[in-house]
Amino acid sequence: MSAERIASLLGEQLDIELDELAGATGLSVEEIVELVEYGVFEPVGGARVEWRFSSRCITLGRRASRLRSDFELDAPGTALVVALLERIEELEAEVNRLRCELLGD
Amino acid sequence: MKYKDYYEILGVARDAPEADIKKAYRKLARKYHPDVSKEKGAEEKFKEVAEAYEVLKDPEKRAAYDQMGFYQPGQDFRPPPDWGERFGSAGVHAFEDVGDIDLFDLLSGLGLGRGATGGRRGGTEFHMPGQDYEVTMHAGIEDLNRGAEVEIPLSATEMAPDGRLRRSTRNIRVRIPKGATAGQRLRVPGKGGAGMGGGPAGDLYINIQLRPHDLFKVSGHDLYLEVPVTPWEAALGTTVEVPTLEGKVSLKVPPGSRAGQKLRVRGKGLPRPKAAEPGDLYAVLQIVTPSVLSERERELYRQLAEASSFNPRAHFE
Repeated sequence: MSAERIASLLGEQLDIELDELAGATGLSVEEIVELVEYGVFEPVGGARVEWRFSSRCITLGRRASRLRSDFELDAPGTALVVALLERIEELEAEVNRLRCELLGD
Repeated sequence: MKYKDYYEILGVARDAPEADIKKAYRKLARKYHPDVSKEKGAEEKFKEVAEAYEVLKDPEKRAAYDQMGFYQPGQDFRPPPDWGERFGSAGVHAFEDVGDIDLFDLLSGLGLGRGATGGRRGGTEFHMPGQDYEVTMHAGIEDLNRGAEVEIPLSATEMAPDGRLRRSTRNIRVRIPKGATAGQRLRVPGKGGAGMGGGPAGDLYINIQLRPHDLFKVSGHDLYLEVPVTPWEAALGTTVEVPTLEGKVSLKVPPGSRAGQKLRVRGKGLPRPKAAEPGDLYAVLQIVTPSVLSERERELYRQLAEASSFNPRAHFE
C-alpha cells in the first residue's frame, strides 16, 4: 500500500471547490467566475462558496488555461474554443464507436 | 546542454523586432497546436515553437539567450564564464556541470534572476509551488479491467538544495482506479515537481492511452468483438463460444442473423467507477463464406439457390 500512489479519476464526482479548481488549473478565481458565466463550467450550488465543480472541470480548466495563453484569447474566445473542443471530442467518440461496429477493420 | 536556435524555429532574423516575433508565433501556433492540428509531430513542433516564443518575447530572457552565444542546433555547449553572474539568480551559480540540463528550463526561471537586484535566496522570499507534470500512460485493456499497477517514468529538470540544476529521472507506481477507460485522465496530487522554499509540490496528471488489443475494441466502457459465423450458422441460428476479459461465454446467434448485427452480452465490458454497472460486450456478427468449396458443397449451394425464392435486391426494381 505504501508503494502505491493514489490516483483519482477526473470524472463526474462533484467535490471540487472554487479555490481548488483555481489552484489546479492556473486560472484565477475571477477567470473561473467569468467562464461559469459563459457556460464553460456548470457548478452546483448557489453562492460562490457553495459552488461544487465536477473533477472533470479540472481537465477542462487546464485546457482553457492553456488555450488562453497559447492563443492569447480573451474569456469569450476561450469559452467558445472549449465548447468547440468538447464537441469535437464527442464526435471523435462517436466515430470511434462506429468504427467498432465496422467489420474487417 | 544542447543548443536550440529559437530564431530559426520561429523563422525570424536574430534582430527581429518584437512584433515580427509575435506574428511568427501566432502563425506557427495556429499551424501546429495539438488541439487544432492533426499533423504528425505537431505536438513536438508546437512545444518547440512555444518555447522559442516564451524566450524571445521577453526582453530579459532574450538578452540572456543572445548572450549565450550562437551554435548549431543540437550542439553541446555551455554558457560563457561570466554568464552565470550576469543572468543567473543568486544560489544558481554552478554552470560548469550543465550536463543534460534543458536549455529552456535554464532560461525559463530556474536559472534566471528574479528581480534585477538579484537578492539572496532565503526562506520565504523564494517560495514557489512546484510545476504540474503531465504524462501519458500506455495501458492494455486487461490493466483497465483489473485496476493494475503501472510504472511510469518521469523525467524533469529540478533544482537541488545546493542550487545546482540537474536532470532527474524517477519511476512512479500508480494504481489505475477501477472505472478508468481510454482517453480519461488521472490526477495524483503532490507527485509533480517539488516546490521551492517550502512551496507545495505540483500535481501529476496522467493521460490514459489504450494499447490496441488483438480481439477487442473499446468504446467508452463497452467492448466490441467481431464474431465470424458461416452462412448456414447465420441462417439456421446457433450457439457459439466467445471470449471475454474473464473467460468464455456462450452466445446465442438467432436464426436469420444479418452481417453487422450486434448481439449484446450484458456486463462483460469494462468496469465503471464506484458501484455502477460495468459496460457491455457487443458481438458484431460477420458472415464469412468459405473461399474454397468442395464439389459436394458447391452442389448443395446450387440446390439451395434453386430451392430459394429469396430476393435481397427487390428494392432495386
